[in-house]
Amino acid sequence: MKIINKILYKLHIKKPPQPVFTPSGQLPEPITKILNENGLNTDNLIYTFKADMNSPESFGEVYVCFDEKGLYIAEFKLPDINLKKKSKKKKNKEPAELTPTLLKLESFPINEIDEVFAEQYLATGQLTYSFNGEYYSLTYFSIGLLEKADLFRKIFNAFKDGKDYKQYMLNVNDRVCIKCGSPVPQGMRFCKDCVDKRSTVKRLFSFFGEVKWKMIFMIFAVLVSSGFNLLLPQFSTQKLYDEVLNVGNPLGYDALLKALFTVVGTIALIKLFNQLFTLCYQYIVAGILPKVIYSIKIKIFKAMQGLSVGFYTHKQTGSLMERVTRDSNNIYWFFVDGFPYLISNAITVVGILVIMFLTSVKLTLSVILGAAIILVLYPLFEKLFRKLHHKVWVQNSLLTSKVSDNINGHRIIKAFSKEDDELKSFDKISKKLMDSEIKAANAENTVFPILSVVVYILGAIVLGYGGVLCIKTNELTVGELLTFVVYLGMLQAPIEFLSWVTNWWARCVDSAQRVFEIMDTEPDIKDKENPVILEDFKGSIEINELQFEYEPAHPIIKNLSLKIEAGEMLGMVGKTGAGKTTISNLIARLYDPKEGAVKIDGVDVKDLSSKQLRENIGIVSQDIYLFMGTIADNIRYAKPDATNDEVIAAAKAASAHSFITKLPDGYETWVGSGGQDLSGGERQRISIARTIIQNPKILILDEATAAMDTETERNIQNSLSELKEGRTTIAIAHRLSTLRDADKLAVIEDGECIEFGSYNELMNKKGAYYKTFKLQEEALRFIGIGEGNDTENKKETEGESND
Amino acid sequence: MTDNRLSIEFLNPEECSFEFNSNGFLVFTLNNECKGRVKLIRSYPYTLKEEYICVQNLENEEIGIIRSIKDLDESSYSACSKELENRYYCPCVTSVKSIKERMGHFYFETIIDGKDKSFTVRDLTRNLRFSSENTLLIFDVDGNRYIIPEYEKIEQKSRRLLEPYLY
Repeated sequence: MKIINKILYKLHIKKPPQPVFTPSGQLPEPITKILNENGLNTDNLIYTFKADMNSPESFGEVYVCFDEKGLYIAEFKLPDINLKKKSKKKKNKEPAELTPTLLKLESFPINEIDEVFAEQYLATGQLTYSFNGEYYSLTYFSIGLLEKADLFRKIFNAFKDGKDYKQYMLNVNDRVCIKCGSPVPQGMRFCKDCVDKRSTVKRLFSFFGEVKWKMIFMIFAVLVSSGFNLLLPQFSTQKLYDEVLNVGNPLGYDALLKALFTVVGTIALIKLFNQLFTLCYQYIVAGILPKVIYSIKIKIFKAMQGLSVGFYTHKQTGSLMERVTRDSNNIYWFFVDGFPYLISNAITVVGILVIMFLTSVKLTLSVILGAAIILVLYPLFEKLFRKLHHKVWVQNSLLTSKVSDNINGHRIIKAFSKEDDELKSFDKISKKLMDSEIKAANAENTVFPILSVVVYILGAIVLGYGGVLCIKTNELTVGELLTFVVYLGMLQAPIEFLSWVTNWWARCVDSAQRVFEIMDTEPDIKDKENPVILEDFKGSIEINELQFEYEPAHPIIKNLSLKIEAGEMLGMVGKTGAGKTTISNLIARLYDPKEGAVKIDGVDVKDLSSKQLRENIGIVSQDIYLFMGTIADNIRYAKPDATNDEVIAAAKAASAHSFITKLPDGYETWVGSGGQDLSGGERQRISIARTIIQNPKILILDEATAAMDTETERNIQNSLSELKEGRTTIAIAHRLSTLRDADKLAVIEDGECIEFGSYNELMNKKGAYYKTFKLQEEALRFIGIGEGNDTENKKETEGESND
Repeated sequence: MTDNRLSIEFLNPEECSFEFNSNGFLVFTLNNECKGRVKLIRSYPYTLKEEYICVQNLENEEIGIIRSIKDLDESSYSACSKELENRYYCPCVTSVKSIKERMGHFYFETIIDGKDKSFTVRDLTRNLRFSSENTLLIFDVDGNRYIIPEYEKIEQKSRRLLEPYLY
């Protein structure tokens, strides 16, 4: 019955039993029943967290839940899987043992809990709470549940503090299979059982929809070509031997010569048509496949452009590259090298077997027996080779990474004189590659001759048996036997091909699935159906109770609120890692906040059109990236139709013109990968020019002049001062001198805005800003750079006079 | 040759005392001054499990570094040892029963602590790697981590399954 069911599931006739899914925050049905039986009224429970460990080092089932009166911990004993298997074997149903058993149920009055914490360890985490300065443990959990544990913490703490805890419950986002609704791991849309290879195949072939007539003709050409190929031995062997070269032929010389010319002519014609149709299908394949692969690559690239920054930061960017290149190539090569030959070989095998059957049933059955042995042997060895080749591939990738690492870090290698060490390290990897290649080659050199011998022995046995049939019983003519032998030879290659093409096909389907996975990934950041398009984008920014975290339980921005009027300049200061860059990324909506909102001109950025938002926000960041192309192309990046005058004007404003004109190729100097080597300051100036030409309403300068000397910085500062006019500017800086013109200043510390106000207000406050200012002033005075702070000195005097 | 400028000032083990409080949390006393609940952090979590141990308060501020917890008195050593074991506990894969690939995801069927455990791994290059010569780390798609502490010692069948995917 089990086997029948499995077959029915495979054929999609019957659906496999679906697991009962319980959404996060709720108790599963059997657990609810047990808890109710033990005196806990589960109807009033507000939220539940299911932990998977009952001690720091062992797995278990623990439910942590709370209602208005208290927090409860229910620990269960997991059903023993081995017992489950045993009971199934014995057909002995023991339901009592297979349902969870309650081990303990503890309750903690809510007024004896101050705060709940989710602590993170290496591979586990611990839910704890504090009361009157003392800490108490609640439960342990696997690190994969940290996000859920942290959500429980937030919901409980908000409830305890009388805040709106329900807003956190909206964030409960269960990852479930879109087909059956059972839980799936992160980043997956289907569960293991619902991955339907057939739908992938269907979808893969849908790419060929536009060229379907060409495909049909291609298949027709393959069929005809294979048909002619099958006919060939009938004339080249059987007719030649039986009707022309037969010793006992009664025909005269002229008649024999005529028959010979007829046979030879027919052979030539068959070969001609065979080649003609082969040429036809190869020509069609060459014509349509690059187009299809081009369309697939464009679709992947388009999908990648739509993905959010978070995807690139946290997901495997390396594998993304593979998807555009290797996976699409896998599909390409299967359809170029595999698909036509699959049809041709399948037709050949079927055709040959039919002809063989018509010639001699007995001999054909012996051939099928031999073919079956080969079909079993080949996949066995193919599996071994696949493993060996994978190892070679892995070592090759390592070697490529090493070379790439070496090229990128060549300056450091030379500076530390580490060439010999690098060579040793390269030698080690290279040797591993060599060893794995030798191992693979040795295996091939051993296995293939053995397989060939097996094939020849099987062929010889068939030939011997055929000989017996020919001599002893006259069931076969010599021509028929020889034709049979030719067909036998023709059968070997298609059988070998068919024995391993399934793996090739599986690889192609896997590649296609990876490609579709990217195409189907929903971007984290996407526009609403009808996004707001501001008629007059002014650029006022309002940040309300903003909270953000890249990883669960590691808040980067904590409850931050700021307000900047349109046209104002805000200076953001704070230590490295305080969260300044994250704030600017949230304003540009490169990420969405966990809680709170960023509003531009009174509209939440989530409601605004991303295109309009990004067109109106210019970011000059610490990460400078120049694309492959000329300097002019890079400056024009945000405004491709910018005139040459505008490019030069922007470069001048960014103090880049002077160094650009010193380069032999001027604005047409090739930069980016493989291009002209530019210094950090020069690259930064090009990126500033790029933003200047964009002419955004909101300008974010994230340590824009950090890599420059004082003089260049001052030149750019002057240009930027002009640029700031009429637009909202957010300047992030360590050097306070950069922020001399700011209307408002915000001191960010550990994700919070600890001081906010004008320069004078903050100096009078004598808080964190004042302290940093004084420290920097002293440092500059110490190294003899006092002139840069004239303005600050003036402002400081003003500030102090207001005391 | 040791460069004196790069020497670290370690906590004096004779001045340090660790114990678990009644709630099961580690409490640190330095020079008879109770520092309250602390965290212990391994600087080299895989190779030097009892050396270079950072002592931090709950605000993640470092109180100091202990050169080796073996230098502490017996009860402090056993408390630190226990705390480090708990904090750095990682489910240990004792056997790999099967690895199947579908849709670029690798489905592992393993035995952890004598029980069957299944998990999914993506991008094996990153998520299946050696942390040291013989310790294999596995990270699943949910962010859980598993360890094979002595790769050479696990059964041959498991190694045969893992080998093609190892770098």
